[in-house]
Amino acid sequence: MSKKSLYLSSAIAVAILVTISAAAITSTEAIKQRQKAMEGVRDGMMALGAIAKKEKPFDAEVVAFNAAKIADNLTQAAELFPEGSDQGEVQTWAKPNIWTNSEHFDELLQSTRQAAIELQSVTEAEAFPPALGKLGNGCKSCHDMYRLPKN
Amino acid sequence: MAAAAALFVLTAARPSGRVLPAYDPDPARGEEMYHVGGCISCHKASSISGVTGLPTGAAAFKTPVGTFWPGNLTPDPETGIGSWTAEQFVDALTRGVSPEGRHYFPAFPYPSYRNMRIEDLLDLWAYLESLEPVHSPGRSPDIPMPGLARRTIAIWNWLALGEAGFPPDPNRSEIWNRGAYLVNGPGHCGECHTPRNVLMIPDQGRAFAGGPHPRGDEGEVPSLRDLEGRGRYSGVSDLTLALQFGETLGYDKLSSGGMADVQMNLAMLPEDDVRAIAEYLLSLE
Repeated sequence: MSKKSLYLSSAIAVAILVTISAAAITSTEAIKQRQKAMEGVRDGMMALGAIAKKEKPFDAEVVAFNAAKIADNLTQAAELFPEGSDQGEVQTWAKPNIWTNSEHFDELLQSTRQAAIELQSVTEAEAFPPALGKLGNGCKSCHDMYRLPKN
Repeated sequence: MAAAAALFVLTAARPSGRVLPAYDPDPARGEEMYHVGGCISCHKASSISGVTGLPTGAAAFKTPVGTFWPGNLTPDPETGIGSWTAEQFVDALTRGVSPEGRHYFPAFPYPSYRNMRIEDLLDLWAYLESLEPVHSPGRSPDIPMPGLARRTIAIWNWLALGEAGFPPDPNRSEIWNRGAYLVNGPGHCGECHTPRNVLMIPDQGRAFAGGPHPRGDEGEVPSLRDLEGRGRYSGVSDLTLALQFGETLGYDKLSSGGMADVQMNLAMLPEDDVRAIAEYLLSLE
């Protein structure tokens, strides 16, 4: 085989392997990745919460940065609930009704993500609490229905 | 017999014949009233929706008296309020009577809404009329002897209702008065937080003192009196944050008994209004 065709076939083989492994993400991987995404959301919420509690001053750039972080993590999380991932090798707090109510679950996740996107364009301090409240409502609504209690 | 006939006539619901003032309504302020009033929390489409979605009223509302299905608030002419007039809407919210001349059950908190200002009611009406009309037929309440029960509401109203409206206290600040109005009017907090007697009439002498949950929920409704003295909240800013963000910022006891819906609705309000509510509540001794 020429070097060129050797490289080419290796590249194709790697591409196929990557595609297969990405398409067939295991439940365990999905659980781990989505929990990581939610931790990213939590980090963003902590920073925004500090502004809400007036522990830190209102800063439109800080708000935009953390709101974007939350929105990005929610975008990732949306893809990490494959069928069967209500169980895995690590503990998950995802309730089985995520898959029986999948349309409503998707809707809630997307509207929460939308609230995070809207928060990115808040430039005035007065507009911040209702916009953050709307995001918090989204988190809460979804968790109330689709997340098992932590204890 | 004559007494029964007289009672039958006297307990019929009549339109008030009120004349509304000339007023240019503001649907944006109406939307604020919609959130303070918590309309979506009872008039929501199904038990799985939170504070988003249209108020088509298909979700059941269970009470110890029976099960109610709050009406469709979208301006659908057949199944919603699309064919109502502004006068009929104001009558419904302040006197608890329907356009067909029937008494609403006070599971619908018109005893509190009757304290609302006419401008706020008309703003709310304008907001509801701006919603997308959705065809969603209502259901009659599932209670014993509904016809007779409706007539007895006239007597209940006579016993329970005070004068409509909530005049400001000139000795208090504007912010306090705003909070007092929001809590006693559209916020209808007393409907759960004020204890009721055996006829389910709220005991205004013990306003906001808490007690058994009138909806029959488990647990007691907490008292809102002396919140700071009892160490529940450290001040106006603390309570304001709790009302706006609830459990998202780690406050507890803001999830059960209907408080989740309350908190989610309050989260949509301008901060000044939530602060006013907090200021009023913290002044209760």
